[in-house]
Amino acid sequence: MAYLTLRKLKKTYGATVAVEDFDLSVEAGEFVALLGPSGCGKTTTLRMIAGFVPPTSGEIWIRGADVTALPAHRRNVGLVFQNYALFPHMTVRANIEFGLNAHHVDSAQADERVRSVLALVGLSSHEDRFPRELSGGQQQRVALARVLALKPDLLLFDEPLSNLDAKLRVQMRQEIRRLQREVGVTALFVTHDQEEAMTMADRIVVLDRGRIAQVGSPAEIYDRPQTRFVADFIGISNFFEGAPFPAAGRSLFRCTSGLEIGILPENAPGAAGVLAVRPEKIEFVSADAPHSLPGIIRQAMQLGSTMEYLIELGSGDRVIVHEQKRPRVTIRQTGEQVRITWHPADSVFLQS
Amino acid sequence: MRILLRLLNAAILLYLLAPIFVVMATAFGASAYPLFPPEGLTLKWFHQFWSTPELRDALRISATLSATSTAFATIIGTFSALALVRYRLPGKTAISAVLLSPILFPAVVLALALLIALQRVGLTQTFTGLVAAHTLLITPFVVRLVMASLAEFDPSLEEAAQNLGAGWWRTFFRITLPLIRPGILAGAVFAFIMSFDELVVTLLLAGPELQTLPIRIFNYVQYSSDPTISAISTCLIAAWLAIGIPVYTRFLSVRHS
Repeated sequence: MAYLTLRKLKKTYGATVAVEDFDLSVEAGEFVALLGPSGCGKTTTLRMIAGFVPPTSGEIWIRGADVTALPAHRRNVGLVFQNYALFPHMTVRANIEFGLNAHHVDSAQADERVRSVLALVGLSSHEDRFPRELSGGQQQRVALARVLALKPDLLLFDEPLSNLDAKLRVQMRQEIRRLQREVGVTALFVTHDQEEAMTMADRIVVLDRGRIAQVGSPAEIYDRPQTRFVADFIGISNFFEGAPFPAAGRSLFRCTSGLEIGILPENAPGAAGVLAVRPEKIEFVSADAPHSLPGIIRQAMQLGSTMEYLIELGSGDRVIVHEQKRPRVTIRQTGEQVRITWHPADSVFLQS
Repeated sequence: MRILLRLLNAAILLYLLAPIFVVMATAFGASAYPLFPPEGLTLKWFHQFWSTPELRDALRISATLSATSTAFATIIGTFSALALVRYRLPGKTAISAVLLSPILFPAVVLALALLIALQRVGLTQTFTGLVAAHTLLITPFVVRLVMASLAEFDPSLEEAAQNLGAGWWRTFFRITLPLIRPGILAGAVFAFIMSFDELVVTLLLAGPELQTLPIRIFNYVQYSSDPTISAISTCLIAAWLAIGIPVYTRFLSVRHS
């Protein structure tokens, strides 16, 4: 049995469904991100695991024990809050000791734990400071040290980086991952920031309106999205709506706009759906390339190391193309006539 | 323009504080009736206050009554405020209105209502009856001030405490209570002063054995005109300042983090 198991978890508020059909297994030591737009149910799920929100139905199992009915203070689950929730009237040391006292850890051992977690997060010299005397990043570390001192079965993060400035946020991503690996604790990380989820997580759970849209590694989620929502929410995708139809021995994809695409993924079924292609998978080719699509560049934008082109096809469909700036690759101009194509394996067919 | 504003400020301050200064000054005057400016300098009116048994008894009764009522009001008021702010109670607005209504009713109406109510349970002219009445009168102040400090309290702190393994008691006594203590203290001080000062309701409910200081003062000024009352007033003002200023500066002033 997995380390953490969520079974058919469901939460409704009156007629509103916050979370439904939530099934998830997390292995020991794994770092899993719950990713989705606001209101997708990711925080509700986290709060159910922490014990602050009673599930309407379903079960939560941690280390082989059913904790669904256990009150929050009896679950050994550490939560790092979005605003850190440090006790403002207590010093850093007292904040960490609070949980140790609640768990009746004897004072010699408590001392030792305080010292070791403060060393772990690099704040040994700050133990007598009050939270208001610390920077955002330091408060974040104290919040982390406070839960790590209790050697929790599970670590939960509720958008812990959203209150930090951009540079520090990127730094703390690595810091949190380093600490989690060092301690070897299993972690669940709630975020609406796809970059955060992609860079930090072993596995990502994408949520859409209270349901799991897809579970997979960052690469799977990005390269093999299973729904249009996932393809759209994570990164940028070009979508072509239509249906495949057989023509002269091979398949074509005919879009509702009239565009006909000859480049189809192998598993394209017969039903109507959406063809999704990432902008960086599309390349410019010469006029004689087979199945290439002609178009005109309507916009050329600098993205730093990459150029973003907005191309209007003859059918009126608009396609975004990303091209790395490299030696011997010329930057194209607005108004230029181009032909584009992509490898069949780089497009994904999605049932609509 | 600025000078005009300053003058206006000064005038308003003078208007507010002058009577207090006059009362305090007359307490030290040697004449047999309050005279301003005072003639001569004496402490005999303070001595008169201490050596009049009824007045000393009245002070004792008032202090005991106010302290007891404040204790009840603080406990009831704090938990009422917690319930009103934290929990989704049915009829929350109604409960809140009822709790705060003693502030809104005219004292005479309230006094009459309490008289009728306490008569039914045989508690008129008893200390218990007075404590009940005063508690009712002053609880709203505690509720208001505690609710105000709860509004600034971040509920995720309580969740964090639970998450760290603290049950209800530990969470309440180590986290919630210390953080709303300024509101509770301010409410208690305010409530104590309101109770100590109360005349109308007490006058109707108190028997001859329970003459509080305001009642004694009220009676005293009807029959005599010596500055003993000024001396009592001066003592009270000094006491309020001694309690009020530290509480105000420590807990009520705007704090910047």
